[in-house]
Amino acid sequence: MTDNKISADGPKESSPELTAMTLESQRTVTADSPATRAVVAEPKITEAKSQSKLVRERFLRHKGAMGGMIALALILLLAFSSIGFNIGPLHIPGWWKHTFSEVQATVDGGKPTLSWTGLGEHPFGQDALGRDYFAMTMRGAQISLIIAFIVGIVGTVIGTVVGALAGYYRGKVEAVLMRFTDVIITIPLLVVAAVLSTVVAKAGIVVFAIFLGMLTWTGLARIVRGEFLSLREKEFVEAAKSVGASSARIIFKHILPNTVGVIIVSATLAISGAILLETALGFLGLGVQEPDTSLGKLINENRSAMTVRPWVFLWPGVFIVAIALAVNFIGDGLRDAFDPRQTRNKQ
Amino acid sequence: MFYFILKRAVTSFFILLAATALMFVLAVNSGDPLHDLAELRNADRESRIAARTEAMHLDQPVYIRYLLWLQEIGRCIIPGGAQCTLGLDRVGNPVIVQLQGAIGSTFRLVVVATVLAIVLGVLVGVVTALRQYSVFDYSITFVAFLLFSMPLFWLSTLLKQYLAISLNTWLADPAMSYLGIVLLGLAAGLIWMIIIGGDRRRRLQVFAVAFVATSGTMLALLLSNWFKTPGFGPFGILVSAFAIALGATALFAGFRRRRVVHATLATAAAGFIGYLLTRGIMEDPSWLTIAGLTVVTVVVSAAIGHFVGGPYAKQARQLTAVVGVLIGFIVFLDALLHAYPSLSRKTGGRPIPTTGSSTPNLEGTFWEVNLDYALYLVLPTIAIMLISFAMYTRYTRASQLDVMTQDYIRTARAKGLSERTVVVKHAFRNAMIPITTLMAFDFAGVLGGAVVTESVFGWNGMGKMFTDGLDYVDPNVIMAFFLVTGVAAVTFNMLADIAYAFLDPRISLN
Amino acid sequence: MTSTPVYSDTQATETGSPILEVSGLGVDFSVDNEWVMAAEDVHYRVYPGEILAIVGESGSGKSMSSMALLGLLPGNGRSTGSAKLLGKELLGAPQSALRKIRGNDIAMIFQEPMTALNPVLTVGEQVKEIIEQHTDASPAEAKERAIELLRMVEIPDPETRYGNYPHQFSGGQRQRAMIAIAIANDPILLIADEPTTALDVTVQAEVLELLRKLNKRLNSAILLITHDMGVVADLADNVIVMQNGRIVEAASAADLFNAPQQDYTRALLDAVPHLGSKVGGVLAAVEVEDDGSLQISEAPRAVLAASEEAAEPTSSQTPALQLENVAIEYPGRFRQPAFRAVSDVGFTIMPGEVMGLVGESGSGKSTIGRAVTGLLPVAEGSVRINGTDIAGLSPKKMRPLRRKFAIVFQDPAASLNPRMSIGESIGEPLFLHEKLGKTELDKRVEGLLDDVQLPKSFRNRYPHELSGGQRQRVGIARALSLRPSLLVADEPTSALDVSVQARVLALLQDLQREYGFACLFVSHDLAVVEILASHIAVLNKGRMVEQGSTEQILRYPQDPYTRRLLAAAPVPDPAEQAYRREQRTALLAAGGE
Repeated sequence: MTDNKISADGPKESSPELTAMTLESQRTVTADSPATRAVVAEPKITEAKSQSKLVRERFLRHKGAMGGMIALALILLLAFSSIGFNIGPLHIPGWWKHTFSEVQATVDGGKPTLSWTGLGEHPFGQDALGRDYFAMTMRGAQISLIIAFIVGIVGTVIGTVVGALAGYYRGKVEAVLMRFTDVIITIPLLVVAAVLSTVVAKAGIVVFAIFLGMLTWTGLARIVRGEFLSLREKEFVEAAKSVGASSARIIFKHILPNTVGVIIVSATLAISGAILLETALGFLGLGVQEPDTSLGKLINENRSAMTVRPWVFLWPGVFIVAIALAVNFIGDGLRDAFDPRQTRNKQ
Repeated sequence: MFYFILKRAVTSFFILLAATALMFVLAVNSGDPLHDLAELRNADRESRIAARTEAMHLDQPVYIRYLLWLQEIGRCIIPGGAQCTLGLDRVGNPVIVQLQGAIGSTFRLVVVATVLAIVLGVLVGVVTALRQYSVFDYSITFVAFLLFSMPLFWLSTLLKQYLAISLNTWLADPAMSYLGIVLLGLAAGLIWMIIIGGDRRRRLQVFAVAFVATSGTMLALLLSNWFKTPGFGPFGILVSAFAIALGATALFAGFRRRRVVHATLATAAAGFIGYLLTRGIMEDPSWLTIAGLTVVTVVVSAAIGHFVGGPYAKQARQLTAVVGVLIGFIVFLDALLHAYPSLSRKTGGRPIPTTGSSTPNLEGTFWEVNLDYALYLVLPTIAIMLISFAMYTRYTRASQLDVMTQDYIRTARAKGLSERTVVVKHAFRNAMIPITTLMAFDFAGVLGGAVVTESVFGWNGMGKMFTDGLDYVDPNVIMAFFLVTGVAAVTFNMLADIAYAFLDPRISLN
Repeated sequence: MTSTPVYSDTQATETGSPILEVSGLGVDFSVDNEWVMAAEDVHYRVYPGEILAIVGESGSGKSMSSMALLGLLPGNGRSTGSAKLLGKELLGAPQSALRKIRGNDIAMIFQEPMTALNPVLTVGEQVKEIIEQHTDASPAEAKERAIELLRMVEIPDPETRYGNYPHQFSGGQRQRAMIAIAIANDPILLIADEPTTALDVTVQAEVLELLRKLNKRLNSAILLITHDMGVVADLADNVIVMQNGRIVEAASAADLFNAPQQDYTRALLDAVPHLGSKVGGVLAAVEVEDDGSLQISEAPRAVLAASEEAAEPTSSQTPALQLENVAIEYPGRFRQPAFRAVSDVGFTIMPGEVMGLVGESGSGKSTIGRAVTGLLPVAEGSVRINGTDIAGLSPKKMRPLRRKFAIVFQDPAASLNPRMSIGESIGEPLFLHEKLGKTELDKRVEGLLDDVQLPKSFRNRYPHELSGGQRQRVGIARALSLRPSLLVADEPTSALDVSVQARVLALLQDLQREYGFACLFVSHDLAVVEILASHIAVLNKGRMVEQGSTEQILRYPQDPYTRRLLAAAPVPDPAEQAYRREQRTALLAAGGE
């Protein structure tokens, strides 16, 4: 379920180099055979444009990705500015009048007051205890976002390192690392995360998120390994070797920058996957512990109130979907920007 | 091939061993198994603690407990030895009993959803790739992203709360205004128009046909009180049989070869006759009868293809066998639907159940029992399927697009082959190669995700078993669940590799 | 249109009207919502039995203008003008009508036999389906004909090979299968788009021979699209030269090669290396008698002596590179034995000397180039660079030695890191070995750019902004940055257009004179090697076949393989090429390894 990082072109145990290589060889067919590529590739740009600038331009033209960026920025802004947040012992206050823990008298059965004319007293309503549900949702969104980003970053770093080492050194290093990856992949993510979260969740959300990140790197490790396997045979890597560049230099200066596309795309998918994973765990009553809350936990707590107070179920869900959707669209835009092979040629 | 499987089996065994060890350590440390007893104030507290400590070997170090567990597994692998229990749970019952009850309902759920997701996802994925940048493509892309971004449990609850309840209410009194019927027809017309595409005239034709067909069918269904007494009926089966024959021919063979067309049409006719002849047997069959009839269907339809096909016997055989099986499926579905009114009376009129995996203590015919299963499957299957479906469409689309730009597709076009042949014969098989890998991963993922689905729909399956095991800190129960998912994961991975080699001749398994 | 059986040997009657009449053909592509011209105002006629070659460098529009005929342009392309097949308009015809023509009246052969065949279908199936598509043949009949076609294109044991997959065929066999597909329905026009570019010369010669035979036998016209003037001289009756999407010159093959009218054509022909131009004729020792038999004469004593000296120099100087009994292996995977790519190779290059290492694909020539630069380990023997044996040296001990040698790779696009600026790429060896500061480094990089005749401003550009030739200059600048005593050039010009190749070769010659490095020039192209090398070694299947002075190897080759290699390489001169074809036929008839 959360395994959607495994890409369709991600290399397979029995067939890795082959797929990578055939695709590669087909992409670099000589001179003007499939002449579109020749025509399209014709450098008619005169001023200097670095690769990253081209990527940036393509990304900025991608409507879905831009929509996702704006949506994500707005959600981040809303979640953190409304009820404020803590940096260590310091509390930065927000503009919203209620806090997520203060219990109040229930107004009008706790119904949401959000309307076209304004927010009202409790825009998302109140929960059964009378707490302001808008503040609670914002708090849940904050926690879920923090967890998602930490998981994404930790998973990406581990996956990149494991994949890079396995792909570059091959042989024994590769065998050990990839078998280790296989072991982790064999365990359904949700299952191991569930067990793990009962162990570490008490230690706080950051530790919890780091541990989750240590489980979600397998897909990326395989992809990065595949990239390294094909890139290490490239002539520019041989050129670097022939002048005596060290392995570290070849990995970090020559190969890694060329895999940055797949890594970034994968990282965004890891973030949206992490949002879903965290909410699924929260839904099972695992993960984030009282008194704190997360979007998944909010839904779990209010499952039974579904028919009586549908809003307490709906709002956190809407935020989960909005965040995940925004991140997925950004990922899609990044993929198109880094790999323009499948982007449009308008008639 | 044999060497490959052997080698993979050995590697998989060690991977599983390592994974179980890791999992066991985590499971043991996930909490205090005596938590509930420690709070007891009764006199028998100490003895109960002692009993549970004994049953779960709590006085032993972790690695001894793991070895003990392995020993229990060993008993299940080595035949004729001691009793296979998969270990005891915390009250001292063999875990295998619990697992046997759970495994069936979970697999029913997962397999049906996965198969449907693959078929629909691949189909829609290919169509979106062929209609790249059409409205259809954009809509499916958006829907796929939306489903991708949706937590399974949230989607499930929505389906349960809104779709099931309103559908049940509607089915209790199926009626639709003329405006509703027209709107439905318009929607269908639009969707088909976008899928099929073409120039303006073609689009209008498609729209008109789809509009008339959909709203006409809907009207007929309502007037004939179909939603109360569903089924195809002899006439419906006749029409579907020929529609299947023509559709399969159009997709896989084309109409240029008369012999092949005749063979499929003959199969359709034979299928209809078979339907009429077997009505008696189909009154209340067993699964064995169904299996037997399926074999007969395949043999007879292949024979028709063989003899009518003439020089094209080989192609005709394959096609007629497919047609025969599809018609058989329609007949099966028809019989299943016919059990609806009686089942509905027995279960109390809410056709789509929202909790549980079957009606408890249901007594009825083969059809009633299985329709009951099927109806309980509807909601969870839709939920799981929608999310897997999103993934399959995306990956199939990407893969198909990639293949369509390859040189050999240009060669195929340069040969003057029809677009159908180019897409079905040349592109599709190549596009499926990377998807096989995905299927294995997806299946394992869905199996893990069953934990959530079962929780939402109140199923008593392996997911429930796992969450209970987690709550009670009962490692043997958790491990039993993991054993099944783990074995499924490595098995499906291996199957994916074999399928890979089957689809791609460049890879040999030796 | 249904075809009659293909295999009659009778010639179709010559008709006066053209098969194909193209006029005012234009092709455009939409790039970033702008129409970019790929070809315009193209017109020509093809008559029955004619072989018309369209020649041009990359970007000349030669391929696209032919793809447009069959409506096979990619999605973002459009065509204008008119193309009539037997009076019927092709451009703008509905797809259903075009499908009846494709593979039936007009068939195509593509450049890359590896990617042009579907990898998951058997070769037989791919031949069979085109017969089934356009005729009423039953599967059994179609299979029979497919096998017959495979036999016709000289695939050995066609009954068995029918069930094989493309990856089980060699490159040449794949191209033959492609030709079998193309001629399956006896097309009246065959469009061959760079049919031999991806093949070795000996295989190329066979495929060209096959095309010539089929052209005579079936009387189909051939539209040959190529960049290779040698292939044109070998096969074509008439030639069209294209540049930047327009026709520059159209003439008969003889006229074009002997008296080119346009400056561009002249420049193009001048840029093509002509085998034997430096040593004065090639295969001088091989005479074909009137009865087709061979007369091989002895080499003059002086030539042999010079050759001896080139192979084993007696001078007291330390050689720049000396290989003795070298064997190189690729490690096997999964308990398979290691694959021995090169065995028992030895040669010597003196300081300042250029040696050519020649062979076909799989000969091990690139493997040697990589082993010499320490990119591959040597299994046996010794590799001495300026007297130091690098075989078996640890990476650490190897490192300071790396200043002494450098390598230029074949594919200029792949040999530069796309994420590094040109300046960084060139400066990397300097940075690693001399630890220069930024200003000093910049100065040296600018100097090197100057040396390879690129503007200094290129320092801040990225590889994708440069043309192929410019990138290869950057590759050379990087290789020369540490002033190595040995340069390994691994097919440095084979990915470039001829005019660009000529300029890069001239630059390499100038630099060699200026820097005085020794050079191991690895190439499959004998004509290119002849220009640079004073001494040539010929490799076949990992073994050295012979070595000697350039003159001896080209004029008086001793080994039958060298002779066949030389005879297969086409020269850009129809008359000479016709004679060389006879030589080749005679050599093959004489047989022998």
